[in-house]
Amino acid sequence: MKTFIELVKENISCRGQMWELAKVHQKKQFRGSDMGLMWAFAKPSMYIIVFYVAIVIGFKSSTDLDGLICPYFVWLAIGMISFFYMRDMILNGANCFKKYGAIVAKAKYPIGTLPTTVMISYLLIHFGMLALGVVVCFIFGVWPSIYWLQVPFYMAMMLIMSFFWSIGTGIISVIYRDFYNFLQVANQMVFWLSAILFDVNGLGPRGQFVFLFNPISYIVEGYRNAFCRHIWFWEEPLKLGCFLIVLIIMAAVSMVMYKKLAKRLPDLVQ
Amino acid sequence: MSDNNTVIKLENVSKRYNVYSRNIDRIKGVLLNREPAEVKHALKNVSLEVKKGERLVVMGVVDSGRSTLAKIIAGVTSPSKGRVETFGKTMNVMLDAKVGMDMEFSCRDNIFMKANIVGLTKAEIAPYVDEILEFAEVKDFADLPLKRAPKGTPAMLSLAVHLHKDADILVIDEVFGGGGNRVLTRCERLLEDYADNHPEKTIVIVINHSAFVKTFATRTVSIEKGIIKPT
Repeated sequence: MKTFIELVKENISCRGQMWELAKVHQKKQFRGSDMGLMWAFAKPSMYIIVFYVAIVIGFKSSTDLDGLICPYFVWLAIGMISFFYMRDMILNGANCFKKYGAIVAKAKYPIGTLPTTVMISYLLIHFGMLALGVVVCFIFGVWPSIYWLQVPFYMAMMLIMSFFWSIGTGIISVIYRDFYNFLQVANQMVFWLSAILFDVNGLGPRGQFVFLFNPISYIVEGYRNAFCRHIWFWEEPLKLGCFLIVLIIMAAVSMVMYKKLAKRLPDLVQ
Repeated sequence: MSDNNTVIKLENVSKRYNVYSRNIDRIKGVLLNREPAEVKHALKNVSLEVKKGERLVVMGVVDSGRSTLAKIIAGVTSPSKGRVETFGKTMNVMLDAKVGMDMEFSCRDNIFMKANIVGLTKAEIAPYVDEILEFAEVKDFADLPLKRAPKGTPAMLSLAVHLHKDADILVIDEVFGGGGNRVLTRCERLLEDYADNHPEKTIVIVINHSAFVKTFATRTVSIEKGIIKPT
């Protein structure tokens, strides 16, 4: 807990440095391209359309999901938008210390802010995608409701999870160089195992039980509950409880690792 | 014995780097404290005191432990054994000129990027941007990518940015050697002016350029195979 509080304090006191570095990170990604940041939105938008066409027209799957108050396309888009952020964080969060290896090893810089820096740089894209999601809602006749107010709750859960993930896996990537390659392969699997394209509620009890402990599914479902199902987060206490258990385990493991290894990172990252 | 004027104190500091040949050995070594196949002793039982306002030059050949000493004084890395105290003094650390910079970004952008890493806000560095560009002789192509600037420009920009940070202790590892004599002379002159104008600042610099050492240093030490020797 002490390590976590120290990290939070470091992040708050160095927020200006973090913000500037996140902006540079963002600029570097689309440097030299005429459309710049537009590509950050074009690629995921294309993914959503391709999956929709494949599922609805290609596989002719049923788009009639239980309790849905919006068209299937909106359900798919909202879920995928939240997943895209987590997908980016799975890989780039795990690379946060290695990517900024020179800063870690050769500068007097608050390294506890690096995971948050990466989070912020991708959050800017997430906000843009979310705005696009809202436009899609309007196009399909889904209007703002009081349930939309819980989006910040799910976003906060997503960010807290990304933070602990980045700290823990960022350190593992420094120690074990093959870990990042493993994540790149595993990332494909995560997509298919996280109920992005199918509805968890349509599975049997055993299937639903397995997904209780997948935090990515919880966030994706949460976004969808806010926009597409009108269910409050407290109406599903079992799902919330299981998510919090996973989150607490992630927090404990990452904080123990950070406490034990943060001071050695400058030596290990080289 | 240290007195009130001591700003840096190293007591029996040793630093070892574990060298792992395989990934799995690295994990065992880091997580389970298993002995590595090879250990490199960068510093051996080093004790050193630096007083306020001193200009200490550390000399030594490559791989002598000089950079590790700079890193430990700067607090970037921790000693394996021994104690380091800086008595709550603030640090300005320049161990690598290019840290935080990007050759694809413009010289002007790089000044702001470097300043951010150093801990200066945009507002703090903005009034000095023209002066920094002039010092690095890149004012005419300030908005062109850094990669198109003459060799040694990152070192000059970096040093000039660092010297705008207000800190008690300045630690510099040899970073202006790559740009040739012109860069070296300009950087050394800037550093001398800085030291003359800020006699209260303590400066620790790793450098081997003997002409500069003679005029700049108030004390020199040399380091050989991780052991400090007074000169």
